[in-house]
Amino acid sequence: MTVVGLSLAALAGCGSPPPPPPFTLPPPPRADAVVSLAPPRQAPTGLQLRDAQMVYAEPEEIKPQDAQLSEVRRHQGLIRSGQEMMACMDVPAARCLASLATVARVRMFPRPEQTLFGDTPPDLTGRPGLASSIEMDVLTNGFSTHSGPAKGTNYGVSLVVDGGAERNVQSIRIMMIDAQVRLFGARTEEEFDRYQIYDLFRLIFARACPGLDRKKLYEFLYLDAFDSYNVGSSTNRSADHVHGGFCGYEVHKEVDVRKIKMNREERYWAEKHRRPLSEVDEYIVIKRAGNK
Amino acid sequence: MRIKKVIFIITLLISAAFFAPARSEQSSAIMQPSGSGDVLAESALTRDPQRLALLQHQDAIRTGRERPGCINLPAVQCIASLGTTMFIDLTFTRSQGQSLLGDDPVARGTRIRPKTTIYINASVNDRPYLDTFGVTLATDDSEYRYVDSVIIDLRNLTTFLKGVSSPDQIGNYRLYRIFYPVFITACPNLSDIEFNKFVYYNILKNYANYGASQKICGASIKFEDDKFVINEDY
Repeated sequence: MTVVGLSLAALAGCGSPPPPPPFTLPPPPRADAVVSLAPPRQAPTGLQLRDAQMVYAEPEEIKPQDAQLSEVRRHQGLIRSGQEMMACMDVPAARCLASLATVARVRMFPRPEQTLFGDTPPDLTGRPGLASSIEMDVLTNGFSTHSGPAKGTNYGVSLVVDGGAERNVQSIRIMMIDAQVRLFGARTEEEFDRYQIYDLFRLIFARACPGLDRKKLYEFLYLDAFDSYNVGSSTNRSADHVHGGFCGYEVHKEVDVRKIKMNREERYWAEKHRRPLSEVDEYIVIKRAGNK
Repeated sequence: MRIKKVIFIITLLISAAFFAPARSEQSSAIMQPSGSGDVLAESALTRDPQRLALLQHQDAIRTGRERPGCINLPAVQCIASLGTTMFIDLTFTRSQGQSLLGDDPVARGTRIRPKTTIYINASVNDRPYLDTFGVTLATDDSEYRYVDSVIIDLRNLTTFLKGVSSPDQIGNYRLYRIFYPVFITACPNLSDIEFNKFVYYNILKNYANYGASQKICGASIKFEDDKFVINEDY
């Protein structure tokens, strides 16, 4: 016993440090704490071209001297300074692009030999290859429906243009990228708000219906355009009501179903494992009323 | 004689306990921005702006000037917030000379191509590399990398977690400490008991809606592919 006592006394001075305190959660933030030092999140706007940020591109592929691009920039300036209204249908494509780039982030991927709208250089007969539609990615910016920070929704938009010098927009096709099934299945105002489709329709109907009412648009989409009974019903119209008619335009949901090519074994395997046998693409088409 | 032998052995044991080196437990979670793996000196990137931003957020959160959080906030703020309750290891992201958030080094005259997926190894154990699990931040490609969703993969623990039979057992996995930084700003009064009940009844044992999104504290969680996926709740 004395040995133990001695050894304890001897060790009292050089014992190990006290064990660390158990983990405690950090103290709550002060009352005046900010949410973040960084600026609040907002989806970006503007026109982005294929460049080194997105894909590996040679510097000469980026065309700052493109006449169509400078036309878009001119319209952007006019819209920003309030000299021009934002619009998309039946206006020059440059103006529609500038309008979209003012409220959303527009990304375009012209190939190196193409112009901004996708026109190819003159062929051997001397005629330029005019693009019939202008393709782009549009990331909406939720500021018209969301007061706080919002994640944007990505849509694929193609503008069908005529062959004139102005390249007026004839019709618009909106492909669902982020919101494939969910937008067509939306039932409440919040669900429609979530995918920010109003941002696009506000521009599309800017001339025909200025100050488009958000709820009216949702009601129309829910009851008329997205109603599965009315899909592709342009032949099925009566005197007093045209299905999909809104603000002097026709709005339709169109569905493309393509069979996936498979041989016998692949098809057997796909059926056994309940894999899809066909690909479905759904999109919204907006065109002038009465235009078949 | 025998008694003396026993006493001698006891003394040996006690002195061994006293002279043993102290357990190197961390009393609080720490950040390890410079990495612990094989990092070349020139890839340590001490002036990496993302690292400087991380240190700023860490400092602001520790002193209470900034609220912790993740969803819709910059990725560095999210990492700093996770670091208040966990050991965070970013070595994996930047093991080959990348920036703190994993951007590859750029050639002269070209622009940064932002990485929008940030892989983090994390641990609630007080020592690193025990029960390490994966936290993945899915961000946008803006300068600040605002966080879209947080994906928490408990890796080996998932098997055991799915076998729990009461909300109290959730506490063994310290999920509250993992999720605390993400939810604390929206729900400052969320207690661990409440949270464990939520995980047990709404996520793990929700047989009617297994894997569906469940709303809590301004976010939605789903248990998808054996991972917790936290998204913004619209």
